[in-house]
Amino acid sequence: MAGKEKGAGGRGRLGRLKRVLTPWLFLAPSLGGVTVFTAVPFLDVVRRSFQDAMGRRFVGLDNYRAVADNSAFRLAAGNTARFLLICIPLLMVLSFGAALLLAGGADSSRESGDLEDISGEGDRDGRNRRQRGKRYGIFRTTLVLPMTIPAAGMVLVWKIFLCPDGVLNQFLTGVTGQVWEVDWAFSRWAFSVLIATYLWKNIGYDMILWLAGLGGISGELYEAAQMDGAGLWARLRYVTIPSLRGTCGLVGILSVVNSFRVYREAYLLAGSYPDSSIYLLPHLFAHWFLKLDVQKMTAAAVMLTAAAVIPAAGIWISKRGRKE
Amino acid sequence: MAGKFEKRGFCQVKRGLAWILVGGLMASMLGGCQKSGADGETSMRAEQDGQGSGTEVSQAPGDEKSKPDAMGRYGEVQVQLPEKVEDQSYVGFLRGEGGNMELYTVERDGDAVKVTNAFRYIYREGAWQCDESWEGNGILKDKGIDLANVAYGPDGKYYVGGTDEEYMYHLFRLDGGGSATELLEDVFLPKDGQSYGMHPPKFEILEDGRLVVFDYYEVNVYDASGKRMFSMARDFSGNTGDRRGFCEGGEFVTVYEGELVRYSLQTGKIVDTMNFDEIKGRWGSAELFGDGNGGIYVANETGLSHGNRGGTLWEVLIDGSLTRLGMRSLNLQKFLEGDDQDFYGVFTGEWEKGIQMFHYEYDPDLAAVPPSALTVYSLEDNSTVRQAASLFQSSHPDVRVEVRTAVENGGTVTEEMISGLNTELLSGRGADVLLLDGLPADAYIEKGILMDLSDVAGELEDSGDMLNNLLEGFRQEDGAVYQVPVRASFPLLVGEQEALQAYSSLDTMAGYQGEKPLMKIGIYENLLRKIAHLRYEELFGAEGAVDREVLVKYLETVKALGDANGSKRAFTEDEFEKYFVSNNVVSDGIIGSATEYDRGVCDSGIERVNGYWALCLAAEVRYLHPESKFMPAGKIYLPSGIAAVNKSTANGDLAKEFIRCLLSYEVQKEDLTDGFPVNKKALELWVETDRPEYSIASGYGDYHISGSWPDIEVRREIAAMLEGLTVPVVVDETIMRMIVEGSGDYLEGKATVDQAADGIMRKLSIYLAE
Repeated sequence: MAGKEKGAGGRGRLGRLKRVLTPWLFLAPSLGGVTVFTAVPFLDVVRRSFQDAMGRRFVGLDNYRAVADNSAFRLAAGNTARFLLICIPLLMVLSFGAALLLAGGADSSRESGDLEDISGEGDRDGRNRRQRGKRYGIFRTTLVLPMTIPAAGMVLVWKIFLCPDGVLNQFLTGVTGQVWEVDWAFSRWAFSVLIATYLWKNIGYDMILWLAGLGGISGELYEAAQMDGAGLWARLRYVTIPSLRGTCGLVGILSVVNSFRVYREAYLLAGSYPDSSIYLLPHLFAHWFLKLDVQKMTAAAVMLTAAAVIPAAGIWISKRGRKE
Repeated sequence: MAGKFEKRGFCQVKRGLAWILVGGLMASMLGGCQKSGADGETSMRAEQDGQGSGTEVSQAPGDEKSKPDAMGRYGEVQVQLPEKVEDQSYVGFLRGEGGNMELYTVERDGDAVKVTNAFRYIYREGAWQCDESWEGNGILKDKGIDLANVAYGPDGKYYVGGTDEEYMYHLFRLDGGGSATELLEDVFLPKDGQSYGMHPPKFEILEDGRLVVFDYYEVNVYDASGKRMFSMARDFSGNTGDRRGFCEGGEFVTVYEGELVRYSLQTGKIVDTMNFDEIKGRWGSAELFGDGNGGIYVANETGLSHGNRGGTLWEVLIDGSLTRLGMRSLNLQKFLEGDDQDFYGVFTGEWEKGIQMFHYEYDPDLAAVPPSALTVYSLEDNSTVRQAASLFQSSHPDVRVEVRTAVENGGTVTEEMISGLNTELLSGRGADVLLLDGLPADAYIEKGILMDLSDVAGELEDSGDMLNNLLEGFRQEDGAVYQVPVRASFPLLVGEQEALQAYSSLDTMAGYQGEKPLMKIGIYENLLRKIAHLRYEELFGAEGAVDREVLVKYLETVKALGDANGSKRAFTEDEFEKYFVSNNVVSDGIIGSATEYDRGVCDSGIERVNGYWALCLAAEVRYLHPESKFMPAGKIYLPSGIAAVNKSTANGDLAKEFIRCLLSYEVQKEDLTDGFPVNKKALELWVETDRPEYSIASGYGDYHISGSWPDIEVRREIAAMLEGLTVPVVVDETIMRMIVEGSGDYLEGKATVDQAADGIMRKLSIYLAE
C-alpha cells in the first residue's frame, strides 16, 4: 500500500513536471532562436556601445555623446521618424479603404448571385456579375502586383517616370505648356517620391491583411446591426472597426517593419547620399559600417531600441495596471 | 493485461529511440560548427562574390609553419642558357630533329631594328650547344630576311619565316645543302588597298604537306600548291604575337568566342568546344599544346592546366602563383612537355629580350601547398603586387602569397565589397596586407586597423633606397607611417610658359585669355575630376574638407574652361568623330592631350606620366614645338598600390617583409606600366635604360604623329621632377561623386552656381558630419 502511494506520488510529481515543462519545450525552438540570433547579439551590441571601434578600450558614454551630437544622426533619425509618422497612418488608411472596396464589391457581387432570378434576365445578370468580378480581380491584382516586382526593377520604372526627361515631366509639359525638367528623385520632392514609392509597393500587402481580418468578422453581426437600422457608416463605425483591432495592431507592426526596407528603394533611386529629406537611418548605418564606425552604430542601435521599447513598455505597464 | 504492459514497454522503447535520435541530431549539428583539423587550422574558400578569386586559402592563425597535409607538386628550376643568349631576342622553341629541344634567337643591330644574325641552340645531354653550322642563318642573310618564326615539319624539314626590308613576309622551306624553297608567295602580299600583307604570328606543317597559317582573326589551311582550302575563325587577343592554337591528331585547337574549340582539319568545321573560364587568367592569353592523346594543356599566368578530350574539368598541374608563370614582368613564349611528365617553359621580358627558361618537374617531397599563407587583398588587380608575390614566393618556398582581388577582369567596385572586407577586419581576420586604393584608408587608420610601418619606412629612408619625398606625404603628424605607395605617377603639363602659368591657381585657370582654350574639349565629369586633381591642395585644403567659397570658385573655373573649349555633359556619336572625344570617365579625368596641343586645338596638353612609355608622344610634341616646356602640376603626385599591413595579422613580420619586397629594387626595376618606381636605384635604372625598339604612333584624320623612347635628357628631367613631388593626391570618390552629381545643371546652364554649391554642400556636410 505504502509502495502504491509512493508510486502514485511519484506519478503526480512527474505529471506536474510534465505540465510545467511541456509549454517550455514547445517554446524552446523559437526561444532558442531568439536568444541565439537576437538577444545575445544585442547584448554584445550593448557591450560594444561602451567600447572603442575595435572593442579594445572602454570609453564609457563617449559613444552615446558622439551619436547624440552627430548632426547626421539627428537628421536621419528625424527623417525616419517623419517618414514613419506620415507613411504608416497613410498606408493603413489607404490599404484599409482598398480592402473595404474590394470586400464590399465582392460581397455585393456574391449577394446579387444569391438572388433568385425572378426577372427572367438571368443570363444578363450572370454576365454582369462575371464582368464585375473580373473588374475586382483586376483591381486586386493591380494593388498586389508591386509586391511581386523586384526592387531593382521597380526603381527602374520609377526612374523612367521621374527623371528629367521622364514620363511625369513630359505629362506636365503637355498639360501646362511649360517645359518641365525636374529631377524629382533628387529635388525637394524627393520625400514625396519616397512616400509614393512606399505606398505603391506596400498597399497591396496591407490590403491582403485587412481582407483577412474582414473575412473573420461574422456576417451575423452585420445582419443584426442592419436589423437595428444601422447604415453603412454605423456598421463600419460600430462593427467593422472594433472587430479589426487585432488586425490593426498586426498591420501596424508589419508596416513599420516594412518601412525599414524602404532604404533599398531610396538607395537605388537616389544613391548613397540622396536629397537630405530622404536621408534615413539605414543610409547612416551603411556609411558608418563602410567607415568601420562600429562604436557609433552600436550606441545608436541601443538608443533607437530604447526609444522604441521604453514607450511600448510604458503603455503595456499602464494597460496592465488598468486591468488589475 | 500483459498485452497492455507490452504495449507500454514498446512505447517507452520508441520514446527512448526518439530521444537518442534527437541527441544524435543535436550532436551532429554542433559537431558541424567546430573547427576543422585537429591543430586548429581553418580552411576556407574565398567566395566568388567579388571578395576573392575563388582559390583555396589555408590559414593557420598564430602558427606560421604548420605541418602540410599533402605532399608533392611541380617544382621550378631555372635552366642555364648560353651566355650569348642574354643579348639576343627570342624567335622560337621547339622539338626538332631527333626530338631534341631547340631554341632559336636573333641578334639585332644597335638600333634594334635589323636582325644581324640568327642562332640555333640545341639541348643535348643536359646542356645547350650553339649550332654554328645552321644553314638557316646564311640563307636568311642572303635573302635579307629577319627571322620571325621557325617550325619543324613532319617531313623532317625546317620551315622559317620572316620579313624583308620592305616589311613583306616570306616563308621558306630549308631543303638542305644550303638551298631553300619559298612557299605561299602570293598569300603574304598586300591585299587591295592595304600597305602591308599578312604577318603570321605562327604556322604549322601537317603530315600531308598542308600548311596551317595563323592570321589575327582566322587560321587558314593551304594545300601544298598554295591554294587556300578553308579558314577557321579564332579570337584575337589584341597582341599581334597571339599564337594560341596547335594542330594534333587531325584537329586544330584554338580559342574562339571565349572558348577552346576543336576544328576538324579535314572539313574546317568545329567538332568540339570546351569552357576554360576558370583558368583563363587576365587578358585570356595562353600557350596551348596537346598531350598526344587528345587532351589539351593550357599554360598561362594561372599555371599549367590539363583538360581531357570531351571533359569539362581542368586539372591544375602547376600553380601559376607559385611559379614564374604568375610573374607579370615575364611573357610566356612557349611551353613544351618533356620526356618524363616534366615541362619546359621559355619566358622573355619586353621585346622578346631577356630570355629565361625553367624546368618544371614533379617533386614528391615538396608540400602540395606551402604550409604558411600570406594574404594580400586589393579591390583591383595590381601588377606590381603580383610581381612581388611571385618573387617573394621564390625567396620563401614555404610561404604561399595569396593575392585576392575583389574585382576581376574590369568589373566595378561596389560598397558591398568594402563592407565584406570590413566584416573580416572587424572579426580580426582579414588579409595580412591590404592595398588601400579605393578603401577608406583614413577610417582604417583612425580605428587602429593598420600597423605602424615607421620602422620599415625608417630603414628604407636611412638606406637611401626610397624616394623619401614620396614616402613623406604618408607620414602622420605623430611620425607614424601606416601606408606606403608602391608606384607613383604625376600629371605633366606641356605648352608655352604663359599657358602653363595659368595652372597655378583656380583663378588663373578661369581667367586664362589665350588664343585657344587652355585645355582640350571633353565631358564635364572628366573636366571636374581633372581640375580636382590638379588643384587638389587648393580645393580640399590640408584637412581634405571643402570650403563653400572655394567650391564656388572651382565650379566657376570648370564652367569657364568648359565654355571655352566646348565641353558637354555627354557627346553624341557624331561628335565623337568631329571632336575626337568620348564619353568615357577616367578616375583622375586626365586623358592624354599633348597631341591636341600639337594639333593646335588648345594652348596646353596634359599627360598622366606613369612611365617613360607614356612620354613618347609628349617628348616628340615638345621637340616639334621648341617654344614649349614640360612642367609638373605643382607638387602633386598620384600614388598607386598604397600598401598597408593589417594590425590583427598573425604574420606581422612576414607582412612587413612583403612590404620591403614590394619596395625593393628587384620588384621596382620592372616597368609594368602602372607607375614610376618609388625605389631610387630602380628609378636610376629606368633613367639609364634606353629602348630604341619602342615607338608609338597616333593619328586622327589628316593628323599623324609618332614618337620613340624619350632620350636620356628627357628621362633625367622627368626623374628630377618626380623627386620634387611631395603631395600625394587621393581624391575621395564619394566627394567627387557628390560634386559631379550636384554640378551638372549648373554646367549646363540650368542652375546658378550658388544653387549647385548649396546642393553639394548640403550633401557634403552630411558626409563630413557622419
